[in-house]
Amino acid sequence: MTVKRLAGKLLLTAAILLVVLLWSVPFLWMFLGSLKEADVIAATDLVWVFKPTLEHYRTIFQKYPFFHYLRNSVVVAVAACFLTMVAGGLTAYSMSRFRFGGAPFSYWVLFTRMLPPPVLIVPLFILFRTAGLINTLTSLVLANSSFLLSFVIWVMKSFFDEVPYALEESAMMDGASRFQALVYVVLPLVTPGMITTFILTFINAWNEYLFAMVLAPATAVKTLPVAAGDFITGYAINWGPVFASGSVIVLPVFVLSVFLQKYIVKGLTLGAIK
Amino acid sequence: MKRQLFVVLTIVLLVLASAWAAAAEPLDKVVVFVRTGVEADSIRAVAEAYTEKTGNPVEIMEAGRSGFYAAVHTQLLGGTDAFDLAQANDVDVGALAEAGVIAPIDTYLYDAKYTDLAEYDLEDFPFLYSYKGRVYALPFDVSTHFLYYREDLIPEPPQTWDEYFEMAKKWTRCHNPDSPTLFGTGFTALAGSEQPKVFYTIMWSMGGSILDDDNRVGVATEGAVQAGEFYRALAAENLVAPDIYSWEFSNVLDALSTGVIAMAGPYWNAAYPQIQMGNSPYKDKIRITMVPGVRQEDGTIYRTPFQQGKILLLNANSKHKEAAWEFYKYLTSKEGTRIMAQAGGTPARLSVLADPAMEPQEYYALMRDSLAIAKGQPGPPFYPEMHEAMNQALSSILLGSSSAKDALGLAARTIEQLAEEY
Repeated sequence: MTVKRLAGKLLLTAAILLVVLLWSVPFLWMFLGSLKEADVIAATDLVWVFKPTLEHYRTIFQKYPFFHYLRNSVVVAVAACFLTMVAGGLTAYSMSRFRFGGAPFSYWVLFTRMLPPPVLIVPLFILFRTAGLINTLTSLVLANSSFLLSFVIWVMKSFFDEVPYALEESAMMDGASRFQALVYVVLPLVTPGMITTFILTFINAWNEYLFAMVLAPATAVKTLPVAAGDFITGYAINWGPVFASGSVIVLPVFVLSVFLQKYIVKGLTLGAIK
Repeated sequence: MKRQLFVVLTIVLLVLASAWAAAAEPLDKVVVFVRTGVEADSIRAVAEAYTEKTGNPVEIMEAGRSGFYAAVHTQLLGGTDAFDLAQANDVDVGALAEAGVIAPIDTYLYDAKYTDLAEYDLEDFPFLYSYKGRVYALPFDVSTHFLYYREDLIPEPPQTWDEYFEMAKKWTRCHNPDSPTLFGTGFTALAGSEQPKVFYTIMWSMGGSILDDDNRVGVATEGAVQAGEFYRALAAENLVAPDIYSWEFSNVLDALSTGVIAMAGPYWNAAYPQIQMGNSPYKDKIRITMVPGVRQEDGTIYRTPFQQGKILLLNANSKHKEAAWEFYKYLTSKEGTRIMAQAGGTPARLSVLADPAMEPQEYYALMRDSLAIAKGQPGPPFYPEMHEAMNQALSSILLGSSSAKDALGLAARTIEQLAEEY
């Protein structure tokens, strides 16, 4: 290997390591903080060597119904993802293949994506209050689904656009219905894209705070992000439980991403090379 | 004869059965929406005692500090019936009452069917919260400003703002390289709910005011501008941390507990029990006293500590108003107040504050003394806008982007306009 190429490779590796470090430091800080005792966390000096403790995890799971909050978050995130992927996927397919709604509909979908959540919260609250859905998981599933739908439509449309129509045509000429062509021909080809979209939608629904805080603050339906916020009390921030609950929130998404990273990479690069 | 006896017995049994049913029938469950921390812990303790005593169920719905009051306002304005009582600040009464989303409590307070006023003793409260002649709330917890100082560094606490300034200078390392503390003082200066309240404690003592009874604005008067210049000087002379504009309650507590600052003030009373229960190496050296003031011609010191009450508001859409009042009455009763104080809350009843059995005595004695002279801010319907105008003025003063006269002048004009509109 020439010196020039070696230097280039070393430089690239160093740049990647720097980016990885910058991205991972907050997570490492949070995770290490979850294992430190309260006075070590509050120390003004940086403490690298300390006696680890699980007291904060014990606090969140034994003193608070964190398993219950975890269950609520899983229900909301999975249900919202499922609903959004089905509705959004079918809408994206019809926009891709039938040019449904034309450009105005496409831009309207994009426009709804630009609306910040605080703009929606009061009308959503009034809507759900009228329907008797305040303090229910149903309100969170519907709120998250409606907010994420435009994202799923826009992303899935681009994946459907990459699949040559000729493949479906030939399947339909062989006797398959439109739906069969979609399920047996198109969907396997866009699976990486679907998984990527699913993960990004899941992360959004999993981390969602504002809707959960306003529409479902009751203990029975509280989700993890709102519960984590409970440790920021009126007079103190209980950093240990905050770090522990943050670590618990991040862990499922991290594990999911590790197992599905092959598909994420495939999905992100789909269509890059024609 | 037998038939008559049978009829009489039947009637007696029916009367007894209905009386038993009425007595045994618990009131509807009351849902109370509160902020996590001391408030939720203390109200929960009272709720448990109340349920044990009366059999009436109470559910505590908690949410963290971040966005709590926004969530309460949104829920009330959206017409929720998810809770019956909600924690709020005293200044919320005007705006929410004007919007018609909270119900007055005087319906139950002054009705002998619901409240025995002689036993309840309204005079025992330092304040009630009314709007347009109707009473909407009583405090279940009170807060006021103290001055915290390190006794090992400051044997005699400063009595005037000038003395406070000099003492802060003495214990700021850039002025005194031998100072064990980095900065002489600290306070909550984060723009939001707290920044103006700290300023008001200083401003009132220097002769400024917010709004008088005739809605005349006083935040640009000579006294207020003098307070603004004092506020700026603390930052300009580096007597406070350079990032003081990002300091909220917990930052000041951490700085005092870890020895970064020698004094904290004006600063909330609630910090003292937390310091005493915490692990600060300086906790036995941290003392509390009255906030400084301005020496008058007769030699007395004019002090004006800020005070505010934490209240519960009765949701206008609550379907269990009577049950909600019964719990509210118990929470704010002498018995409920004592339970709350034992659970970490600060009692709002003067008789409980004056009880020599309350510990630590220095804390409750100072609460009493401070509340006796404390001032509260007005709570007009335009309070949020007024508060925001003051936040902007104070932030620009602290950062030096505007002079105290200009910044407070602008705030005064904004508040005058708001007062005219309403």
